[in-house]
Amino acid sequence: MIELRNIRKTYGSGASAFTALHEVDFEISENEFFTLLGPSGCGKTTLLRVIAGFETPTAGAVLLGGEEISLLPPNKRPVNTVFQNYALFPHMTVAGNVAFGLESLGKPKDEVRARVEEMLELVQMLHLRDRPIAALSGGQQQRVALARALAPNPRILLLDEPLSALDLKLRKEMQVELKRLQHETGITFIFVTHDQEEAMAMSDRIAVMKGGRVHQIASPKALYDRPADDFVASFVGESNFFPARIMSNSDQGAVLSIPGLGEVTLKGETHDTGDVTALVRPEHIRTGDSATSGLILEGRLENAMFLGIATLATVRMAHGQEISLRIRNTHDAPPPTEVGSTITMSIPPKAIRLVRAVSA
Amino acid sequence: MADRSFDKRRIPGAGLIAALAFAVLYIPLVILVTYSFNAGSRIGKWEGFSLHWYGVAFRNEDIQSATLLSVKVAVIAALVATVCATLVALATTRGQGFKAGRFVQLAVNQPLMVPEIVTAMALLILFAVIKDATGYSGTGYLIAAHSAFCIPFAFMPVRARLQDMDTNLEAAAADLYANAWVTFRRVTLPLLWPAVLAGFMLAFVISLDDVLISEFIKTAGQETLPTYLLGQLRRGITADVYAVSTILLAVSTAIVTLIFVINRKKKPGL
Repeated sequence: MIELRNIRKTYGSGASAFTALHEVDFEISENEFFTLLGPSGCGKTTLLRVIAGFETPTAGAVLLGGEEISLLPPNKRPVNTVFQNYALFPHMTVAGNVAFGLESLGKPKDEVRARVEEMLELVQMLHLRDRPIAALSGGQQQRVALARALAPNPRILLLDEPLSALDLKLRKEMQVELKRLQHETGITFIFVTHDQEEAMAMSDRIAVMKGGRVHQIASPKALYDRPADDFVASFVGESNFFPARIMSNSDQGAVLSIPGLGEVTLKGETHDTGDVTALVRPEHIRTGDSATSGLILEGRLENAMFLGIATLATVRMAHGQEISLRIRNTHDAPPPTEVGSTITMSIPPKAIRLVRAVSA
Repeated sequence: MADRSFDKRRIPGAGLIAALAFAVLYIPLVILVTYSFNAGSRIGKWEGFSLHWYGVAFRNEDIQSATLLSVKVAVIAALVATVCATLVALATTRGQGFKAGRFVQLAVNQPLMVPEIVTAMALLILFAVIKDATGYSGTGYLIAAHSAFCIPFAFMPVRARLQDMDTNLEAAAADLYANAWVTFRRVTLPLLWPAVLAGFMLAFVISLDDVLISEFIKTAGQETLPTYLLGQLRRGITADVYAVSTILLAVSTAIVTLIFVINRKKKPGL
């Protein structure tokens, strides 16, 4: 539905020029909950502002339903924004804020009143309709900002880190609330965040960005299971990286050699021979009695952090490399706690992923 | 303990210096106000409380016409200055890609930097040329001059307010389908209003108070309140001058207090 075609955004010129977006090119479909995820300065907010119309791309085009909108001003785009600090109008009431977009569109008074009521009902703020904005809590302001942006029934709702100012409990509640709103309204949501957990919990698809480039676009599960490169892997979840080498390909699969750990066959996979980076998630490494197949390793326990459902452990190998483990705590197998003790681990071949190395 | 060592009250002699400063600032004013209520006419000799000199001042037709001219000039000049200042402030803080913004801000503040006597001379020359060419000799010159030197005073609070204001509010309005005019009318102006009012009142007080430029460019027979008072001094003081000064003081104080109240009350919620 919305297509971003080779978007580039450069600020300044000459030696001081800074490119915030490099050839960003993807599509978002109707009724999707799409998230732009990345560390601060990765270009996610700039991209959002390009879609909203606050920034004009230096090159490339934004298409909405097949029509180019790159040069339309924000007030001509059927796109509404929930701002990071909400940007509610302080001199208006709750209802006045929600009515603003409809009034700008010149809707008749009756329709505006009915729609404002409907929207405030949707975000459970109807009882506070005549309050001034200054009298609201952060969570309430958040709801008003949502109602205000949804009221004109935009084709796309843009959300710029809208939950970052809320405390943890309220944030979790609003995550559920946002999913519900998206489901009920059927509007495409484009959500910007630097919080990978938040992105995983809510999104249909996630675009992971860094340095103005999109590294990978995938569903939360695919992003976690099959990260394209080491940056995506380390940004989404915890990771162990091993410099490794593909030795050969046989009928069985590709033979991978990890210095200090050993050799393993990746069944059914074929890869070009040469240097690669292998990724293993800490929770995929087995310990104790179940450490029986794949690469079987021994190391010294450096530290162990008990987290309730799991224990986070760091094990140092004989050749010096540290490996992170996330061991599930079960009733019959107490986790290792004694620092200095020897730990037996195994890495099942199926848990090994080869990723592109892009981070220095 | 740490913050105590920074307590200004513990610096030896600070209290005394402060008291002296206040004395220098306010004793002359207290004397002026006190003697405006004197029954007698000589300074330094208190002859009892009376509103006699206020009566004299109110009945004086010269004072009446000077007051009328001062207020007329101040209202029109403050209005013109505020409109100009607001437009400049909007252009320099909101105009996208307005590269000369900083330069324009400095240029607008020119009357604060150029010695007033120089401005007065320059205006005198300019207006003499215009007068020769057109023959016009009305209050227009006073109004034009006052408008010009009042602009920076109206500009200051408006620009400060615009710089403090969250530009996301205007972005939000644009995002919600408001065009530039609707955004200005429904979001920018309502939030800017207290600062515009403060700018107007500040300009009004500055204009009301001006003596130097007015003295240079007023035409024969024109007297603003300050130039009238100056003229009276040359003839020897009568106590009705104290009464007029006291009223001017009261009006200025009231307006400045009002500016303060307006801008403080509207602060939360920005």
